[in-house]
Amino acid sequence: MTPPSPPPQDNANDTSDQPSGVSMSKSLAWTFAGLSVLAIMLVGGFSTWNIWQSELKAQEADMSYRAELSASQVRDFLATLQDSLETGAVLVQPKSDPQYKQHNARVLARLMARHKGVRSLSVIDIDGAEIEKISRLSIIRSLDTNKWSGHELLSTIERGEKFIGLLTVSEVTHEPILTFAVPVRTVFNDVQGALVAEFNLRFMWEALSALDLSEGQIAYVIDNTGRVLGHSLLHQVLRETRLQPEAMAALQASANHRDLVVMDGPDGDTVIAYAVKIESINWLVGINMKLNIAHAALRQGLILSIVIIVLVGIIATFAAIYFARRFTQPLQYLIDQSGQIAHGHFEHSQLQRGTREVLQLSNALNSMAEQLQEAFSHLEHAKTEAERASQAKSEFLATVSHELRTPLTSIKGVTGLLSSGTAGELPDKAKSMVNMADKSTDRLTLLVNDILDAEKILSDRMTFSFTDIDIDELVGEAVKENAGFALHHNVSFTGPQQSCGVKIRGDRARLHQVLANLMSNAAKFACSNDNVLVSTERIEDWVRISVTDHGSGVPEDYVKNLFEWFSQADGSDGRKTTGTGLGLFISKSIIQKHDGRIGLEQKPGEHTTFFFVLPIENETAD
Amino acid sequence: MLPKFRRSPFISALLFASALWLTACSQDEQKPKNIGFMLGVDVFTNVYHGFKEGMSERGYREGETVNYFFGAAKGDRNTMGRLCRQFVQQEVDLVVTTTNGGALECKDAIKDTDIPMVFTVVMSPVRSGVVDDMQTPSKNITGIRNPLDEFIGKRLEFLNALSPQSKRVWLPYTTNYPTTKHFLAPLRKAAELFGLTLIETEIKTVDDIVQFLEQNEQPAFDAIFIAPNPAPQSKAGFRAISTYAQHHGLPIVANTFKQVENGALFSYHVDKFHVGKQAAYLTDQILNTKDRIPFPVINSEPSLYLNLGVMKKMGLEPPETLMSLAVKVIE
Repeated sequence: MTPPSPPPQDNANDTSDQPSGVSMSKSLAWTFAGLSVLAIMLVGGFSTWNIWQSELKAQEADMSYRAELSASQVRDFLATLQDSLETGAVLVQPKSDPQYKQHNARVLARLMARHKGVRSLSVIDIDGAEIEKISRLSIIRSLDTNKWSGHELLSTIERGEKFIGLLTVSEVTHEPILTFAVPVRTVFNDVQGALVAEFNLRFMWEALSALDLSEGQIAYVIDNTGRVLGHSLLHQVLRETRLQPEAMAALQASANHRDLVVMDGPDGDTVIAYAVKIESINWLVGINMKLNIAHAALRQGLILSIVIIVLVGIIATFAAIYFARRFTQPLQYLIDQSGQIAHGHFEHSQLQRGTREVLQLSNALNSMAEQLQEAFSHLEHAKTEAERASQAKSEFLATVSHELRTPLTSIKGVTGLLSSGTAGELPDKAKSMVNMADKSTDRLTLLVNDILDAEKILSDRMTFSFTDIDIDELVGEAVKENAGFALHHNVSFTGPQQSCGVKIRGDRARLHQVLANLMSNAAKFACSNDNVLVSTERIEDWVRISVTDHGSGVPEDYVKNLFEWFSQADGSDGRKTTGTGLGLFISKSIIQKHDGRIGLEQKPGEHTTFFFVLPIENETAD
Repeated sequence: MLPKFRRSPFISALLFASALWLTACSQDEQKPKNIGFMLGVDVFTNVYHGFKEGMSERGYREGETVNYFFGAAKGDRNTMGRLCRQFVQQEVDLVVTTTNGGALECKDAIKDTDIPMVFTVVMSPVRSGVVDDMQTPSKNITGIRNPLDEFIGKRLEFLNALSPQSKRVWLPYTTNYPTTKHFLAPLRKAAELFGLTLIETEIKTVDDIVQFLEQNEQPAFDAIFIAPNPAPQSKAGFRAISTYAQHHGLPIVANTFKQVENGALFSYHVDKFHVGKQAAYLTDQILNTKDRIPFPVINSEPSLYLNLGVMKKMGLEPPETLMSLAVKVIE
């Protein structure tokens, strides 16, 4: 046994002989990989969808919570201002009080110091005239006695209600200024005037910007016209931003249905929003988040999931390919080795790695290869011996035949001379014996010639000389040449009635030999006075030449081996007809050399036809 | 021997994925922002402190996510310009300035660059030429306005209420300083309204102040008004004025809380620490806005600061209204 060696790479990759082995490896690998990736994608996809849904719900909950928180901040902001004003309203003195001016100035100053956003404060009487005023920036030169006369503020105050409105914008700073007024009452609760504050809503920004908002979120306050009054980004307020009516409607819908809406934000970007209404002043407090930012976290999660799925998929694919190869490669190796053994290469190497079953299979294959190699060696030896014996036999036959031919020729000459009386007239009895010797010499010569031909055929040394042959002419000549033989057997030969007009390329002498053999057989086995028919027929690209007699035919048991070496229907010593048993074998070999076919058709009791067909592809052109 | 399974594609895929992951992670690391802060005059130091606190509140960590390049000009216009040009050379991400002069010098320094600027303590940004519009200023410049021109008259109103006998007010100022033309007119108007006489003196340096005070050993005025100009607001200038005022029992109308702490009668001014925080808001917005959309100029509000000790020394009775209005009273 030769030491183990890796299989040749060329053979391993050669798929021409064993395509099924490679496809099994690949299909197994891809099946494993596909199933793994499918499973991962299904699980990953379901998880991603779940995460997406959870994130959406969490985002909605977060936005609504922060919107409520913002609204609460704005309410507190306004409530603080209102509380201060109402407290101040209780403290201010009516005009009738001698100390009212000084007292009221002090109250207003305290209020202004407390609220940085207050730009001015004034106390007005029931007619709308200012009776005291303080301003953060301006010097108060005189009081306006007709400031609020006939204004909605006064009518609201007269009803005992607070007034919030009259939004103005500072020309210089573009800040929104809110007018906020509360009634001033007497000890009997009668309205006698109002405490009016001009409040800079820019300071609402501080409340909103102090909110703990998530990344990308903005909080804002809008009035019923869509004007942004407060914003976690102050510059949006100072820009006097105003929402579009569609966005306003969306926010109203959000506030009414307590649901997230998608709309165009103040910057023109698409945002998701959640709004809460402050009923007392008809303001909306909203939380916006740009859609791309809102989806960024979701996208990030999604991308991460996809990356993980792809990576795991790749790993699974490689792993599947690896394991499939690990599983199938030893099998592939064994398949290759079996192929090598089938082709007679018994140098089988032992597998070093693999499962127990595969290693056992490898061992069995190895053992089988050894036994096959041994048996093959015996066969080779036997074959060589047989060939040598056959060769010796052939040489012996050739030598014997050759050596017999010379004395036979001499004997034939002598018997011929004796029969013709050249050596003197022989007595009848002696003449009869000489004739017997002459016939025996002919038979022996025929046998020697047949043996020599057969030996040439077996050793592939028979030579052929191909020429153009006219079939009609060939058959005609054969009928004429063998007419004497027919006469000798008391039969007659009848040639073809019609010309087949076919010419082929062939060895004229050999084909004559075939025809002579068939015709002599027919004459020998035909009934007395029988007419043996020799016919030709063109069948498509073939020409068929038949010899038909009406004798007893060939026994069915001998038909099978009729064209074999030394085959005779009657091989007994007492047979009636003479023959070597090589004629049909030689005829068959000659016809095969012409790429034709020889055969027998018979109907017992009626006729027996030996025929051969030759291809007309050998037909010569005129 | 079986041919070995080729591992190189497998390992390469893993390495590639790891590299992608690490690259994605490393992108999270942000380059620190460099900010140049130019302090025009020392009295506005609180702007710087407020700014840093505001930035800290917005998540910036000094030395990690933000670096400050600080420069103090001590009221000198040339130094202001030089500091601003230095910031440009250092390729800072943003410049913060104080005072009108500082804003104009830095505006000039950044004019050929993309460096944005946030100004503070600028009285009339449009009229000063710092910005062309309050609501939509040019894209690289915005800031915090000090509405002193609107409320400077209130200082004389409060002086009149606190020290009614003070009728002649010494006003040392620098004519050519950008702020001056904006506050002088409303101040003169307010003086006229309250029947006060402004004794206006042209000064350019602290030496001019010292020289004037030395020449007027006996004051020909009843109060001193600290103009929002570099020389009287400088430490040395105010020290000279404060010493003179204490010596002669004169009330000082101040410009900053620090001056009130150092002997001024009162001040009505915007809280500079708060201004610094407002500047931090704008800075944060600009640094985080890729398109540099113009940010409107933000206003600031004044508050009253009183020194009750000085009042008592001078025998003044503090009016209850102003005591109520004051956000801080020093005993």
